Amino acid sequence: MTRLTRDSRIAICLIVIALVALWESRDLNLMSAVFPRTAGGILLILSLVYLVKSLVKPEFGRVLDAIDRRRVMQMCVGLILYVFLIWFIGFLAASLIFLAYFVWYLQGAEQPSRRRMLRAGAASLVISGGFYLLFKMVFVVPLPVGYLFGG
Amino acid sequence: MSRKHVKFSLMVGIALMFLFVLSACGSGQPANTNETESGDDAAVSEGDTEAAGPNGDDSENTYPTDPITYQIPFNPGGQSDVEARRQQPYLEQMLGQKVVIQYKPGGGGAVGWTELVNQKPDGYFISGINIPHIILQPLSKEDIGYQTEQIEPIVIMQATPIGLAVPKDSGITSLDQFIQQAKDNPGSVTVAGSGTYTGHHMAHLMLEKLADIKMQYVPFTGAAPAVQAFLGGNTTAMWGNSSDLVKYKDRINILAIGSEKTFKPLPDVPTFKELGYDMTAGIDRGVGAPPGTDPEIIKVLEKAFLDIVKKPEIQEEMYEQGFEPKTMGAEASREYIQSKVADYQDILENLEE
Amino acid sequence: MLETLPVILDALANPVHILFMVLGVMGGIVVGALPGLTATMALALLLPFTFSMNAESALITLGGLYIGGIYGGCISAILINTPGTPSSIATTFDGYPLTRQGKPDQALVTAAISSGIGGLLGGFALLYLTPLLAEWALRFGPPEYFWISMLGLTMIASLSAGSMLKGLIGGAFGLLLSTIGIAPIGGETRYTFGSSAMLAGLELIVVLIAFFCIPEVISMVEKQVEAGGAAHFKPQKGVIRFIFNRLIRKPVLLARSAIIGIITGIIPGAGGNVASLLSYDSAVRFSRNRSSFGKGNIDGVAASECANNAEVGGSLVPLLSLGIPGAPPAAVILGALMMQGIQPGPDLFTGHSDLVYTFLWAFIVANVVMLILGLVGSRFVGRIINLPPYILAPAIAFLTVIGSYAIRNSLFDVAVMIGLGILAYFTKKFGFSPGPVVLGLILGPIAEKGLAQSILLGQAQGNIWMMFFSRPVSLVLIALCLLSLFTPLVSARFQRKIRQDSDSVDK
Repeated sequence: MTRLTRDSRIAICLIVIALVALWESRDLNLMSAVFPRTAGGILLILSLVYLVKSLVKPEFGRVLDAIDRRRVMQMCVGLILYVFLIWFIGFLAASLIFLAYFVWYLQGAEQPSRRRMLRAGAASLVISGGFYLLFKMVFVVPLPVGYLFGG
Repeated sequence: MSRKHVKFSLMVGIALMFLFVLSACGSGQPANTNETESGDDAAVSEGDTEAAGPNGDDSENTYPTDPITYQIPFNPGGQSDVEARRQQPYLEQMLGQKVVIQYKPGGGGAVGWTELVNQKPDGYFISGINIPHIILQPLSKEDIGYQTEQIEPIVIMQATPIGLAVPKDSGITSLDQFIQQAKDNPGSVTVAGSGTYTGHHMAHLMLEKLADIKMQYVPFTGAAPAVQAFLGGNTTAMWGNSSDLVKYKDRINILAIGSEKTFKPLPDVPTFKELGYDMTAGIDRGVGAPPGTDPEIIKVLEKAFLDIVKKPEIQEEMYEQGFEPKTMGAEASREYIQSKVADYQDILENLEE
Repeated sequence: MLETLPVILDALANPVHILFMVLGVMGGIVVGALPGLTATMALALLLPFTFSMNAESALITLGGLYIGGIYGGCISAILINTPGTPSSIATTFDGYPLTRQGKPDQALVTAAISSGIGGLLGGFALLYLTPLLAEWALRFGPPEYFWISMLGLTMIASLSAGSMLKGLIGGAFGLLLSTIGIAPIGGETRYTFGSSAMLAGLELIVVLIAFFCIPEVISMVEKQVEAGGAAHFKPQKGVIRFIFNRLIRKPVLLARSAIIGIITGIIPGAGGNVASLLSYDSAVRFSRNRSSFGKGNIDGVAASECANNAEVGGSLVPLLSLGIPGAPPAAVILGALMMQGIQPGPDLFTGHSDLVYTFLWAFIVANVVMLILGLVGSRFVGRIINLPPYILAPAIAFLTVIGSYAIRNSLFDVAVMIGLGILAYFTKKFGFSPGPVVLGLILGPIAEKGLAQSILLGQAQGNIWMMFFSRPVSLVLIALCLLSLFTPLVSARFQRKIRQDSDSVDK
């Protein structure tokens, strides 16, 4: 058995999602179940078609090669950490850290390090401080204070 | 180099713009608070313990010091919304804080009440509560996300009896005629109502049982969509809250109403009891807090809400719009809810037989 | 109406009213431009300030805010690919590509002009056709809601860039996502997997931010880009005239978009998002140059913005005439009316005609104010994209987080947004465009309610099929669905034929 193409793997994931959706709707009353079952059924059929298509006519393309994987991974992990930090140390502190780090990191190493730091600090202060006040005072959205501080 | 300078000055410019907006709005807010305070002899002022008002209520802590979120677990424009909108300015005046109304519709209110019991019990999140909804949902479903006892009632301030209505051009003018039609065509009479396992749904089931008929109940996500579908002729009849019945009384025939006695704003409409069907149907609306809320906080809110309902002009307004004012405080509301729990348990058991 | 003319003129000439209106529109634009803050929220925030005003000033301010809020959504849609309000989803499809080509001013000016035109047409419909249109609103029962959502789903054909199969899969996946939470009709909990946070279902705005904005943020950092970014924007002279001349030659496009907007508006429950999507779809279908859509065709921006601003006027029709709000922001205006002691409904136009007509004319004037502010603003806001990507990308990420939090004050929503966003970045790379998923999510609840209620009604009548296939409005919608389904097939064949012909000529 040769390696499955990416399309086949995505199709299998989708089939699993559709099956879970159909299985989970087993105990629902008719009016609750009619729509998710329809949607799940359609998804299942389409995914099967997709799977068959990907097996019969496999396409080998490399879409992720043209990108700087390290930077993309950094951003993804950074975003996830950001949410965690908001929960832990509150919105303002987490945003200051997130913005400062990424403005610093994304400038690239060839920038003079002092200017790099300065920009990172200034951007992070202005953006998170400004919007924090805007949301807190004008739009009266209570922003999270963080688990560490009794949130 | 100069390009970068431009960018930076631009950024600073944006920041300054926001600060400007901030200061503009910031200066607007306190001014407004002052105005209401001076207009209302500073009974409650924010964060001000010395300001012992006419009631000498100085044992109070500083609550509230922040804006309060007042959740409506239904679509905007429904009865709960109308009530909250009516109270909002008075509440802000009495509590000296902004009251932010937030909608969270879904599942006949269950989404909102689950949200309520999961909120922090700090008094800054309260929610409209509807009886019988908050009783029936946990009784009828096991995984609903909240229990009736979890909701701390603050007040019950308003009730709308539920009535049964048909379009004016249907030719049906009495409940007997309607029931006869349902008997002649079992299961084909459709009645619109708001939600599943709600006051409307219960009224429907009760009437079916008492009159020994079979009809089709069609739930909508809120009273407004139900009214819309009914006025559009999609259903034979509608379970309507008294306020809607009053609003649309020129277009509909109201066959009966679920109040205990004749309902003041609709003096010509008979009650179900007067017609020989031993049932009452209505929705009581109140306000609740998350479980574990400090009794002192509840007291502050209870007083504010009760003071509002007791205003004669508010009562007058309520009657005019088809509501019945109620003035149950926290303790009375809790007892009322408990008695209703027992009632509905019986009804549900009977109906499931 | 003539006898109320002096009152109207008097009210509109009042400098305080004009000031409130301008401030309302400006405030609305700012709020609308920020993702996560909606026109509804802005209206609700402003409400307490209107207590101290008289009824006229209150309504004029709120009306201005509503109009500005819906327009403002296009700014972030165009500049950062994130619809500031759900109403401007379709604006992203062509607006953002224009920004990437360094022409955000063209998109912004198009949006301002077409919003103004749409808003004015919606306003005049509200002024002159309300009684007629209100009866229309009542003809929409459950089967019609079902069919209109089906009509919406046929848009997958124009929204799925590339593979139609992947588009359909995305649509089905979106429908499935929309069923998370408590069933609207059956009342049972679904797909919550024991989490109470899931009971509330997925918030549309959160998913929109996830699917449109996060992939863009990540794409920005894909490559080490030198400062200055991919696109550099310098305001051009004469853009306004250029765009105006282009749009003025498309009266059919604008009229069609406005009509779609108004009709969608008067149907309670279908909002500006549905209006803008339907209108965009029809613009694509009727265009002779379909392949240019999605790549920065100003017609796409015009169709979307014209429709969502026309929807504003439409949504006030059922509110003023029946007391049923057509959209969430309209419901807040209902609250304002009730607090001024005015009960919307059939007698509103006779009982309070001075106030109502003042409001309606103010509504129309506010659209002109919005148009002017939009045109002036387009010279400035476009410069935001000149910020270097190392600032822009983290700043946008920050905005998405604060926005998705603000909508329901829920950190869970932020987590969902980030999770779905990262997923969306990769699936987009694999050829699944976000449009169909979002479409499924928007239309799912409308379709589900319509389907379940129609089944209940049909069962009672003893014939479910009659319920779906015999009502006049349903039949019109079904015909539109079929038309929509088969035109791409026919025209695809047609285009292929042309291509083959031209190929053979080349040879």
